[in-house]
Amino acid sequence: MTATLREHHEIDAGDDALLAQIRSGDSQAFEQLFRRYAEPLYDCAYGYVGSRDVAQEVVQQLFVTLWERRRVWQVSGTVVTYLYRAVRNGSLNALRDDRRRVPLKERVCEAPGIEQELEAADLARAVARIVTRLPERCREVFRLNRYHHLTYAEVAQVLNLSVKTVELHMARALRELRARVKAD
Amino acid sequence: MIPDDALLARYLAHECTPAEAAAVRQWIAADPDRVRAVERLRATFDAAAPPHQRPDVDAMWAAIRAHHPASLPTIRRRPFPVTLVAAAAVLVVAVLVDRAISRRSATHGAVREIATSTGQRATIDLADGSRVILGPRSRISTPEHFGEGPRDVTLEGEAYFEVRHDSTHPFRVHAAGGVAEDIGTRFVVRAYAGEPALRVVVAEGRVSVTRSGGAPVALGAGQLASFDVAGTASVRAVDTAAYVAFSDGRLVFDGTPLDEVVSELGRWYDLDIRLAAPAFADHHISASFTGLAEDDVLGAVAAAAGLRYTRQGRTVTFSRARGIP
Repeated sequence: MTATLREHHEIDAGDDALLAQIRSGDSQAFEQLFRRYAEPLYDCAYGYVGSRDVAQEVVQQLFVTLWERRRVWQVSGTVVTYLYRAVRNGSLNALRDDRRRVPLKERVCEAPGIEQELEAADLARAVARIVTRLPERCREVFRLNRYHHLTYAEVAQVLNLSVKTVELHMARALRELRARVKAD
Repeated sequence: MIPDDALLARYLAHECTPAEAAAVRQWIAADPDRVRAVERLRATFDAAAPPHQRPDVDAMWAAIRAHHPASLPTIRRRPFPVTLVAAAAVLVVAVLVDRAISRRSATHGAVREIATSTGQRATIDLADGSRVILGPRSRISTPEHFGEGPRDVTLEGEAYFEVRHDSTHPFRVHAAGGVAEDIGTRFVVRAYAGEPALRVVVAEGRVSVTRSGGAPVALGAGQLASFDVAGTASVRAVDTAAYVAFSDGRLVFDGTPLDEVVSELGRWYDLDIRLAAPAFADHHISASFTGLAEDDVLGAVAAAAGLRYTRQGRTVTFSRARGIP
């Protein structure tokens, strides 16, 4: 089961209060923030790097840096979009640092037979494979919106795009899914 | 109206206005094929991410903490280990030669007591995951089965606390007739005989301090409360690093009056330090020492105060520098 940020986020409002405590050096508030977001951020990183170890490292490094900079930490937008943005940057850096590491899903997506995988249990996998074939930006938009339940506005903020551009990427993803997931 | 893909995608992602959603629903309902097609699309849109390996969140937190051992809480469940560390690296030799390190950890009935002597610190990991670093010439008592009920400790001297917050079992430090109660936090309590009766400095979180018969004083991060013998409180903002420094073996003064500085040095280095004139107490010292020999520290403090020091055995006297009237 993949953890999503939205589920956690709606239960626990009060990120901003937590942030204020962290700025004042409250290590328990920091641990709370970490535990609240560790899994969804890990999932996001995993989507980029395709490795458990690397995804864990990316999230760890993000929080190590956050704590180091807690006093000067400026959040533009919300805590959620800030964290996603940071974990995305960290993931892209990790990929750049190790060019040999080809994300698992990128390899898998070359496998044939997507159209045949229409059993309900396989739908998620089929969608994910189609998604890995989308252009990079389009794929990122789709994952953040559908897998991580960020709104269009939040996705726009994380990826530094306009909401209109997010809409166009989602339309593109919809076209691809409609064309490739055939009727049973 | 025929919705384009962008609108359809917004519809499936719940990004439509109510009016748009109504229009799309109307369009779908007009044709059973559309109903099926949209339901299929909705299933692809709502398909969860396929499962992948789960992270080890505890291991991740441990790795993060390892980068910041001083400021991030450690969770230890060992039953009361005690380590003694000398105040400064150079002092280790002096302590070992002059007197064997005495680790006094005694059990009196249901109470455990740990005491440090001159120049020693003790790190105490309590059963509830809280940590105490006891300053030199200090003593702390805790109930034998700590953490099962209210967490009350009694302190003489100085200690730094990193408390695992638990609102059902408040952590209370009793010292010099006052009580400091943690509200989730790191703080220092100081109650040496011969000093202002009680001093509490909060590095993180919040602490409530009550002197018998007085109203509670609420302290936040970066605040210091001192209580005089009469129990009158004064609160001010301070650089907490200076007050917490002793917990990792540093001796830090931040505009500290010279008389307090010398009694502190006396506790760390086991010296009897005197001021030739009471007025010298008005000198304020800001300095930080780590691992220095006692004569280096004495020299630096004297220089900072514009004084000189003379020494006979373990007795040190600060007096006016020669040539200055």
